[in-house]
This record gives sequence, structure tokens and C-alpha cells, in this order.
Amino acid sequence: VVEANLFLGFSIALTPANVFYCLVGAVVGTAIGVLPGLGPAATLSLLLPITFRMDPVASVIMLAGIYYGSLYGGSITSILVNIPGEAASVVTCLDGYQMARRGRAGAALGIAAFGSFIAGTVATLGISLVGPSLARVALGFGPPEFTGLVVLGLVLVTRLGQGPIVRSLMMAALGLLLSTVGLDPILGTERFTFGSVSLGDGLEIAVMAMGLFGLAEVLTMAGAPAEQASLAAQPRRIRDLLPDRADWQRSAAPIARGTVLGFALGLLPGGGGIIASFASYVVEKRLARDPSRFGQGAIEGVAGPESANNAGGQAAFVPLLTLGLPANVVMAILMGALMIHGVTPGPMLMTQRPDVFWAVVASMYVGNVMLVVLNVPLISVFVAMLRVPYAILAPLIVLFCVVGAYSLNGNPADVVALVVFGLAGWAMRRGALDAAPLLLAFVLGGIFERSLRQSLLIGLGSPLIFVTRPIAATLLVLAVLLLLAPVARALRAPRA
Amino acid sequence: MSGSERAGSLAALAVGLFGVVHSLRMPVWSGTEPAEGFFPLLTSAVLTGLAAASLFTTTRADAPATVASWRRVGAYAFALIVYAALFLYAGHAVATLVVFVPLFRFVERLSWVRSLSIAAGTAVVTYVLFDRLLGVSMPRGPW
Repeated sequence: VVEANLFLGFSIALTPANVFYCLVGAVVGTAIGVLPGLGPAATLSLLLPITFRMDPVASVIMLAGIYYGSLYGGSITSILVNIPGEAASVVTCLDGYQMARRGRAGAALGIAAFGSFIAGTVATLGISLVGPSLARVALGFGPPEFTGLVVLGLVLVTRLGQGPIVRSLMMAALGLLLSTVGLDPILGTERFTFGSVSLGDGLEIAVMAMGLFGLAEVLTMAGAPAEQASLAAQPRRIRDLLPDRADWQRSAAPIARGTVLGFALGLLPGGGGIIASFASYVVEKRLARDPSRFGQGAIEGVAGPESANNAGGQAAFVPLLTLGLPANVVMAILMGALMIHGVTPGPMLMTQRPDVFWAVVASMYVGNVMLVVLNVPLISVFVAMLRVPYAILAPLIVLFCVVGAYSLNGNPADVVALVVFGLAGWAMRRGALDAAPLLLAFVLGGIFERSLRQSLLIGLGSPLIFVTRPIAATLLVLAVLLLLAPVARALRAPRA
Repeated sequence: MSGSERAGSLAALAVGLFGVVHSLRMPVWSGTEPAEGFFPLLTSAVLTGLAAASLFTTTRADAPATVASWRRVGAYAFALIVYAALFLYAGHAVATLVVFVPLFRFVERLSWVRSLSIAAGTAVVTYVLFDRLLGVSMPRGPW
């Protein structure tokens, strides 16, 4: 049955018009991913009106192409200039940029492209085969289970950094606190806005990422002119730029693990690429023979998260198409696009409009092939950007960050926040404070607060609800064990 | 623990304490459910505790990299602040020329011709890309 359905999907997705729309989506998505600020959600909103007159299948194929194109494009600037093009690429900065500083930008970009391709293709196959049944399992995740998952995620976040766990936990707590700026997610009352209307919508993750990573790096490099030459020293021949045999040997298992992890987390409502990418990074760091290589340019730190990011992004289509549940903002916009055309995503979609469902699934295969065919030859072009003297590149990064922050919502507060986070990011580096746990805890903060408060509401104010739900209890026990593991290790270690 | 690391912990402690005080001004619990101050209070209390604990931890062996040129860091930080302000109030084109020509010329020691052409070229490219193609209305200033 799956073969017949996929045949139907390919017969629609491979029509010249749909291939063209898929190509447009992949190219626009990659470009949007590269630009700081403007993310896939904003781009889809901007382009939604032009799809009104298009065929519904073609419009969703194009919009979906923009989404997964941006997932790959976001990694390019993370690797080249330490600016995450979008939130799911934050983790790629940690080792991707360090690889670029060691003259290995091409290998990092190559493994990101191939890893994304493999993960995207496997995830699409997973959607075809087991997606609908797995989506029903994911429905069993209620607020207590999400609370458990987020707590486990937060404990894992603290393993991202290099320093002591107390300082990582401290940064994660700061990230959670910053996530409360804006309107209360349940009651709608203002918190930490200090009377500013602009702060009502809260802080923008893209602005924080540009400031804490991109601008902080520019300020750090400005103070160390001798280190600036390291970025420019990149090989020129495409053969030397691509990942070599040793890179593939190191990356194969992280790509496989990242794909499975990304697919599983992407199925959960509220999941998608962001959580998947950092979960993969933490898993790879835990499994590595020498974890100290992570943060210094370990290719596994790029291969795993990039694969997880793409697999998660594509798995997020499952709850949308089979249950009518958008997993994130981008999926909500895609849902809107389908509904404008009179197509209602949900359990009936596969039976009532199999053409739409299977054409979108098949177009993901096509889109993944396009992305790798488009981007691998462009690696030498992207790497050539690093040969631009840092004296020119650094001011341009400042300029693009400011313009990018403004382009998000046309909101002056985003520009002010960018400056604050840029200067704070530099100061944090001086104070040995890691920005990665802060940023990722910020991402999880919204989901954490909502699920925690909803759980307590369901449990009539009693925290015992977390003990009575088996999945939630298991996740919380795992989190506690992970947190206590370093303490236990320290106690077991022989005293000198 | 170095002075800058201690300063980082103290800054986090200050933010945590501010968060606790500010959260306590909001309702924290209402009947059988948490109110809007619950989560900020929880996170800021945890932050305060961890920041205090971090003051007593031994940190990484490698000290933060030394700053070879504070003058350049200051110049970039100043350029960032001035550009953000001018961008919003004087417009994108004026801000780009006023801030980046001197930055290229006096901090990065490029020639006048290169400084002017790169700044002007970038202003045009970003305007076409963001304003014309992507529909982002760039600030034009009072003129």
C-alpha cells in the first residue's frame, strides 16, 4: 500500500511545475537560512499571499521546501561566522565554527549537507512507513510528560559547555528567567516588561543568538587581531574542502543516531529541529571517547546535530498532516496555507486527499536531493567568503546583524536587545560563562512553564501528578540520575 | 577563580536577586493553581542559589584569552552602539555611511576609496535585498 501511495505521490511531485516550485522553495529557504534574522516563519508569512492563486499541492510543496531549505541554510553562517542563521543551528556554532578556524570550513559544510540529506531522506522514509501510527503514540504526551521531557532536556543542556556543571546550570536558569519576559503564556499579564510595549512579545531567540554568538565573536576577534588570519586559511580545491574518509568514519554513527533522535523528537508537538539538535550534541559528547574534543572542532558535533535538526524538522510534518496538530510556528503557517485552499490537515487527510499527503511526502525526497545537489558545489563559494579579509568581514557582520535584527519584526526594541546581548555575550566570554546553555534553556523555557503550570492545574496544585504518570516519572528520575552522576563519580573517585 | 569569572557569578547573582524581588510583586499562587509569578520566582530563586554556589567552585584551568587591543574592542563596541542608534533615528543609508566609513578607514586602516565603496556598496545591497526584495521597510530617518 505504501508503495502505491508513494508512486501516487511521486507522480504528482515530479511534474515539471511541482519540481520547479520545490526548487524555488529549496533555494529561497537556503537563502533565508543564511540571512541572519529573517527566519522561515517570517518568510512563509511573507510568501503566503503569493500562494493563494497556486494549486494547493504546489503551494505546500514550495512552502515546505522553504522550511527544510532554511534548516540547511542556517548551518552555513553558523559554521562560517558563528552566527546561527536560525535557532536550530545554534548548536552547530559550537564545533562548526571551531572547524572553520582550523581551516576545515569545507569539511564542516560538507558533512552538514550530506548529514542533512541522509537524515532528511531517512526521515521522509520514516514518515511514509510509520509516521501516522507513531503520531498517535506522541499524542499520549500530556503536560506532565512534557515537563519531564523538558527537565531532562535542561539537565542535558548543562552538558553542552566545557566548564563546571554549576556554572552551566546557572546559565540555564538565567535562560529560563529570560524566557519569562513578556506576556504570561496562560493569563496574558505582563512580566518584566517595565512598561515597554515592545517587550510584550518577549525576547527574540534569533536576536539573542546573533548577539551572544555573532557580535560577541566579532568583539572578541577585534581584541585579538593575530587570530583573525586563522579563518582565512582554507583549502582552495573542492576535493580538499569536502569531508575525507576519516571524517566520514567519525560522522557515520553520529548521523545515524542524530537521524533517529531527531525523528523521534520531531514527532512530539512542540518538538522539531531545535530540541533535536542539542539532544544529539549532548548524546555525541557523552558517547565520545574524548569528550574534550567537543567545542574545539569535533566533526561529530556538526554531523549529529545537523542530521537531528533536519530529521526533526521533517518529522514535524507528521503531527500536522496526520493529526492536524502543528508542532511549531512554521507548521502552523503551513496548516493555514492548506486551510486557505480548503484542505484540512488531520486524520481524514490521508483518505480524503491522498494526493496532497503523498505528494508532500514525495516532494521531501525530491527537495532533499535538490538541496544536496545545489549546496555541495556551492561549498567552495561559501568557503571563499572566509578569504575576505577580516578587516572587511567583521564590520559587515555587525551591519548584517543590526539589519537582520530589525528585519524580524521592524521593531526597534530588537535592535536595542541585539546590542545588549552582543555586549553581554562578550562580557560573558570574559567571565567564563557559556552562552549555549542560556540560549537553549531560553528555547525550552516557554514549553517548560506552560507544561509545568498546566500539570499543576490538572493535579489541583499537587506535584504528585509527576509521580503518578509513569512516563513523566521515568523522565524525571532519569534527569535526577544524570544530575547526580558527576557527584557519584566524584565520591567514588580515590582521594589523592 | 579569576576576577572576571567572579564578576560573572556576581552579575548572575544580582540578576537572580532582582528576579526574586520582582517576582514577589506578582501573584505567585492562586487557589489550587500557580499564578504568573510562580515560574519567574522559581527560576530566579534557582539562579540565585546556583550563582551563589558558583562563587565557591573552582573553574576552568585556562584563563580567558587576553585582550591584545582594548582600543579595537572599544572601537567596535562604540560602532555597534552608534550604528544601532543612528540606524533607527537617522535611517539605514546615513547610519551605514557615517559609522562604517570611519570604522574601515581609521580602525581597519583601509584606504578612503575602499572604505567609501564598501560602505556605500553594502548600504545599496542591504537596501535592495531587505527593503525591495524581502519587503522589510528599512528605517529612512527624518529626511
